[in-house]
Amino acid sequence: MSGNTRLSVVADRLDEYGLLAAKARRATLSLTTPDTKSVSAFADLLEPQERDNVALDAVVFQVFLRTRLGFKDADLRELRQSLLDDSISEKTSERLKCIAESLERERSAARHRLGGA
Amino acid sequence: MVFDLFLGALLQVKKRALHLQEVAVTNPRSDLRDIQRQCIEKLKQALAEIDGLIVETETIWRQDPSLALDLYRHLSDQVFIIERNGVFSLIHSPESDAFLTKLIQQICRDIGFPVLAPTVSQTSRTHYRFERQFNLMFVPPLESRFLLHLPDLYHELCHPLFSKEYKQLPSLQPFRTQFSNMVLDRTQALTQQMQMLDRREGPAEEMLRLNTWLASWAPDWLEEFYCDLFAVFTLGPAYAWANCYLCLKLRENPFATPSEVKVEHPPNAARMSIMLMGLRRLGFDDAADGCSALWANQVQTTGYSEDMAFGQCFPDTVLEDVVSNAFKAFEDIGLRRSEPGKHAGVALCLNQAWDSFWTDPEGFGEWETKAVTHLQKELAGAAS
Repeated sequence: MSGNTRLSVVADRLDEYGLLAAKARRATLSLTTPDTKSVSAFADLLEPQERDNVALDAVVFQVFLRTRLGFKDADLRELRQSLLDDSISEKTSERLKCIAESLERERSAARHRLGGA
Repeated sequence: MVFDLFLGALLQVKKRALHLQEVAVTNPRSDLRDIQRQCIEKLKQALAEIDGLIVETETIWRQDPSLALDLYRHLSDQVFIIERNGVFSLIHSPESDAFLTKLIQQICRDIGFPVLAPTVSQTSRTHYRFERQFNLMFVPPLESRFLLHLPDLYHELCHPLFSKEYKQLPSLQPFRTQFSNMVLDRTQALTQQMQMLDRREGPAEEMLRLNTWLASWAPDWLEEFYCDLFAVFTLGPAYAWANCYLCLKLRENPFATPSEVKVEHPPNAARMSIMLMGLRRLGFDDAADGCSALWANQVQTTGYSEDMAFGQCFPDTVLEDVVSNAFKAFEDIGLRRSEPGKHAGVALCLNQAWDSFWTDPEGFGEWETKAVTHLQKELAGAAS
């Protein structure tokens, strides 16, 4: 009933997506401990979905990309493939950065509305 | 210099997490054990992440300071959430919380709730609120003395079913499948409308409106509708009456349909429509008629009326689909449905409270005080 429950759910969801995006970005940098698990988890969110075998997280994340960043089916396919092939081009890095920034903006706004720091 | 501030801030987050851990570990309240465990577990995870970031911090900062800041902010927020929700409840929850926690445990037994009952904390500064990360329900400080809003506990009780903790739980799979299919169906329907509009080069405002509806429906509005229907399914008419009561306190337009910016809650008129549909499906026609008349009267008093956008965004056929889908999901996981003349347990008490209110609104306060005392005794007996 309370708007705060919903806002807190939205903020938690953005936290999860945002952290995953940040970790995927971090994994694309040349660090001592490569984090392939995060890249693969992020790629899973971009997978096309079919009825009766739906990954809810993926549907919701794709709605986010379509409605906030204007992603089309082809954009989702291309980004996913690039992550799976481990061929991180400049375009992929830019897209990841753009997604992470957009999530961070919304996440921060949601947390602020909830009375965060 | 900014790096020094960043590094110092990161170390401060670690220090705060360690202090919170100290407070959580030493909390003596046995009725708050679940919250205590959650706090300790979450702080352990946060500390591991903080340590990981401290190790790599210079490398990440050198390559991309904005990424380092993103990771720091996530951790700082997470520690803040643990402090503000979990640890806050450990420190400030009054002893009288035990009654409402027992009440919600009884509700869970009554309806065949398939997962862990939440703990209740009377420390909310707003209305009811569920905090998924701690399985914790916040209600206003004196809520244990009143009955008419308690039906909202049933709405909040549905939120844990969407929790990520239970994502793999086999017994909840039918529920998740039903809900996920509904989200996908709604997403595809609105995406198709957007594609058609795009092909015929329709107006940009129309595209923005559909975009906003898509962002709002999937999944937030659908989850809220599910929670409303869960309350109707397990409790019956008392929930719809409580919603009229709550809406009486709100000043917003019950038909307000967003056209540019996503909103988290569906408008109250759409929620009321879906509750009435649910009541009729369960056979509560008389209560639905009464509630519908009250709602129409309430809306007329405020001077608001339905507009075209509301009708386009919430067609009856779609709302009816949501009711069918949600009720199937509830049946598939074995929840007990509310039926006319067959209420028992807490549902009986809360429906009787509303019947009593309508019989004598002025004398209800006295009836309510006695009923709360009776309920407290019953629950104390049930627990012993």
